[in-house]
Amino acid sequence: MKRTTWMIWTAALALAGCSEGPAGGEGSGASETDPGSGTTGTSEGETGGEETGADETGGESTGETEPEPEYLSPDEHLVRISMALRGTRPSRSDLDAVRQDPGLIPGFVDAYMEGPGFGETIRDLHNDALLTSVDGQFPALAPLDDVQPFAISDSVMDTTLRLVERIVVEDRPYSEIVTADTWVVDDIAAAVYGIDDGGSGWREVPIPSGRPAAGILSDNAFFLRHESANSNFHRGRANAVSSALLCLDYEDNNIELDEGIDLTDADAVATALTTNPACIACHDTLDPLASHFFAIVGNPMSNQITEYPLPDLYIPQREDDWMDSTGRAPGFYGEESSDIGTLGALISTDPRFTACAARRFYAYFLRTDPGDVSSDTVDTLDAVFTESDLQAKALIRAIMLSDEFRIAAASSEDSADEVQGYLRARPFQLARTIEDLTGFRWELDVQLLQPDAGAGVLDLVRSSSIGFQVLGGSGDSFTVLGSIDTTNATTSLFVRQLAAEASSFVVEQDAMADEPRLLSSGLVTEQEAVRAQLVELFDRIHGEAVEPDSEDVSDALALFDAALAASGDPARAWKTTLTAMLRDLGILFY
Amino acid sequence: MISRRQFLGSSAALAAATLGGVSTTRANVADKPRRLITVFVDGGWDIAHSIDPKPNLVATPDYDEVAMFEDIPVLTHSSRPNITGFFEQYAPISAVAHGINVRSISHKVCERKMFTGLPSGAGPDAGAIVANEHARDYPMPYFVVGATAYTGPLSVISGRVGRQGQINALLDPNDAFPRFEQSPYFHEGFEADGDEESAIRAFLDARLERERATRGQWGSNRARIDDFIESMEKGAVLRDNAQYFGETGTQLDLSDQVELALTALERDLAWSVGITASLGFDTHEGNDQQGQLQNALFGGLSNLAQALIDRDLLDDTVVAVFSEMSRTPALNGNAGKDHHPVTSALVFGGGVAGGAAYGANGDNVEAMPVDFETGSTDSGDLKSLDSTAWVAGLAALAGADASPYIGADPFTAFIG
Repeated sequence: MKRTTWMIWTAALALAGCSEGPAGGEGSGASETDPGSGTTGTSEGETGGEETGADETGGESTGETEPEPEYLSPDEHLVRISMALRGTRPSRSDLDAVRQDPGLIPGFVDAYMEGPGFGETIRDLHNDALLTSVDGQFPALAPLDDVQPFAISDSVMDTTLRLVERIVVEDRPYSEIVTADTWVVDDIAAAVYGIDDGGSGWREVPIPSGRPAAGILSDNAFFLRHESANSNFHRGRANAVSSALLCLDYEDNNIELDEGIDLTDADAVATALTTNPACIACHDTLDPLASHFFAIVGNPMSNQITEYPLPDLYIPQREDDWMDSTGRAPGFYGEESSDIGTLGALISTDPRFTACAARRFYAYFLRTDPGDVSSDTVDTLDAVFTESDLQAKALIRAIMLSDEFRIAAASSEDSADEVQGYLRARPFQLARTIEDLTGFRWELDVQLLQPDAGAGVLDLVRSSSIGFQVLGGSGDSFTVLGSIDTTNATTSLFVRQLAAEASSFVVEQDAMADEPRLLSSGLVTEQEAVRAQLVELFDRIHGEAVEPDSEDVSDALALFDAALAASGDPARAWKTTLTAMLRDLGILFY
Repeated sequence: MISRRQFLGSSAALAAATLGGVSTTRANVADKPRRLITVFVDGGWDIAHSIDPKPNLVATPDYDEVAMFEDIPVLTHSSRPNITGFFEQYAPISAVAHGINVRSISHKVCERKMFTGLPSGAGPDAGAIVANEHARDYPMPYFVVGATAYTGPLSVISGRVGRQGQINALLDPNDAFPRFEQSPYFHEGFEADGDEESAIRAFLDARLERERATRGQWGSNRARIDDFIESMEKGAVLRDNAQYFGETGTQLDLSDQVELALTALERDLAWSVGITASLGFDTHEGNDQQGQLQNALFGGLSNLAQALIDRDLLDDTVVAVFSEMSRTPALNGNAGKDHHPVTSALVFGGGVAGGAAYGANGDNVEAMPVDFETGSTDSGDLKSLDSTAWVAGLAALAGADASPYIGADPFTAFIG
């Protein structure tokens, strides 16, 4: 991988030149969800509340020697499911429903996977492995000369994840992520690649002729992100594929230099790669894998972009260039292959492909490292996945309904270090939560800042180069990988500011609407009315059913009274109260 | 109200309890606690251009001579005056560690190892370890002004400034992103005043207290709550010091990072600082580029050293300069060099046994076994200097014990 280019892409995004398209076309309004609308319906009594949750993973939590952890209540479980699947709170009616009947939970799992937000979750999940969601810049050239450079980049770099999202959301076999004969593009990406299909929005289009069908392996974004320093003959790309799709990372292996090899002699090094036991342990399989990628331009961004559409990044005439470099024919762990099309087909039927998906999905939703997922759990989930004909939603459903996903706390101090009872919301989830609750999006329209600038709206929560994605605890898919599972000073400052912005918006805008999302009674000040509104807020914001005379409500009332006394202004008092509720531990963890 | 002592004590105890496994010993740790600045040379530098002269290699860069600065051999050339200038001035307080075997040629894996000693990157890096041991209660003990840092279980003590200094938009309402009336999300903004903020904290503290009494009694749940409280307190202190963090929208080059770093150290806002020199060192073509890149790097290091002197921080501060890997001894077909798993690092500042190079790279840049205490490759207890020993040694140089996190003997030859 050559970093220089990316450093240039991501450099110097001065505020005057920034923009970004909205993160997705999905709405995220608070919706009442019909649990019966899911694809698999509701099976009454299937979860059974705290004691008898339907655990489809069959993991280790049932071991007799391990003390049983404390589990979430049904409504808490629903909050966790809703946050995990779509980044928003359940509606109050959804919560009431599962309080009455915990057996409705599986139906809600299915329903939430059909609704807004799930697609972004799928993209985020897969970005942990594919790492394509990077902030970059493409020049604003005709016909995109009225678009901000990094809005163009956002579209171009999102195509891989959009394809995966579409396959999962549309209940297509998961194997299509490496076999599909389509791309997913929006208007900007279509212009960059010269696709004139007359469509609009994110849509599926046939891949260009001459390029084998291999799902994300046929897509440009994956290989724009995982460039190749040509001198390494695409081995980095081979490892990116192996690591992401098979959970087999060659980089995990230590390299022990054999002092008998003359490292200054290129021929001696090349010979060693095929004969020296220390070398062939990796290169016997890595190099044939890498030979699939010679047709894909190694570092396409090293040349200045001067026009759109871009020249084709796949050059069929180069498919056999491996002959002049490593001399290793394309192959897949001992099986013959020819191009990325056959590679995709081989990956799709490899048992490691489904096992890796099971491992990554579970790790994502449980907020743990994929390497820490037990083989028993992987095996069980893999079986569910395989038996469903590779329906990703079946795999996710099993995770959502597993005992591990319902854990709230350890039941004793002895096992407490191993029990993770809080799952940290990522910045995009916080953005979705806040927008769903308040209607507020924290963004910056660049053309309002600079009327002559190209179009582009910067999402301040989801942007890493200018916004707060990294300060909020996520990575940038390039220099900062992974997310933190706790808080630090900068994440705390981020949440504090986000809460203040949203609260201000609620009081000034949303509360004046015909149907306010949060302050249904408006800027009331009379004590009983304030208490009643606070009860609603606890339920809506935190999923907590509290009594009007509970400690939580009394504390919130005291806060409201103190704020009102300080300013004498009901609007400020409600801004203060809402800010506090949106800075609560329960916003950042679910 | 949960007291500061309560949450700090519990977090520290938790860290010790959960990350143990190797008995803690203070042996081989510098007596004086020192601040640590890491300068990460992103991309993989070609050490043959400076601190690891190999004049007999066919791929050696243009050079005038292998100059000795005290006992540090350095490849010098008129086109790279800043390298010469650095060692002319600071060789007495500088040391070079050779033969660090990273055992990988992957950027990300090497990076993790050189920072944390571990391929997973799950552990804290030396900056975090040092800050946690010496200044846990600072507002931002580990201040990450560059792109790269690994905080692992010590995330709570770290903080980032952001690639464009966007932390300022969170610290100072006057530096916030603008709001426009034409936006569908327009509002006037809200900044709680002192009384309002006190009321907010009272509400949050009461909620947290109840959470601690139920789900948050023990273990990781307890740690999350403690981190949450600690983060709020530290964030509040940072807001009081907003004027020292620059301004939003500023691309942070090396000199900007140095200025932020030293200001934070000088004002006791941070104890460790992570700087990233993103100058474009991953040159697989045209290896000559490395010369000018290193010239720029050493110019920046001279400025850093001089600034430490000017601010009377030098004796209290250790600076570690390292890349994730080095580059091959031979040129590839594009006159460039590819990734190589053996590298060298530079340290300078207070407490450094300066004017010397420790360990060695062989003729083909292979790692030579070394005695960790003396740095000799000829005699003593000769062992492989891997990244765990490097990280443990770096922490030890700053007076911190890394053994709770990595079970390795520290490389201590460069401790004065």
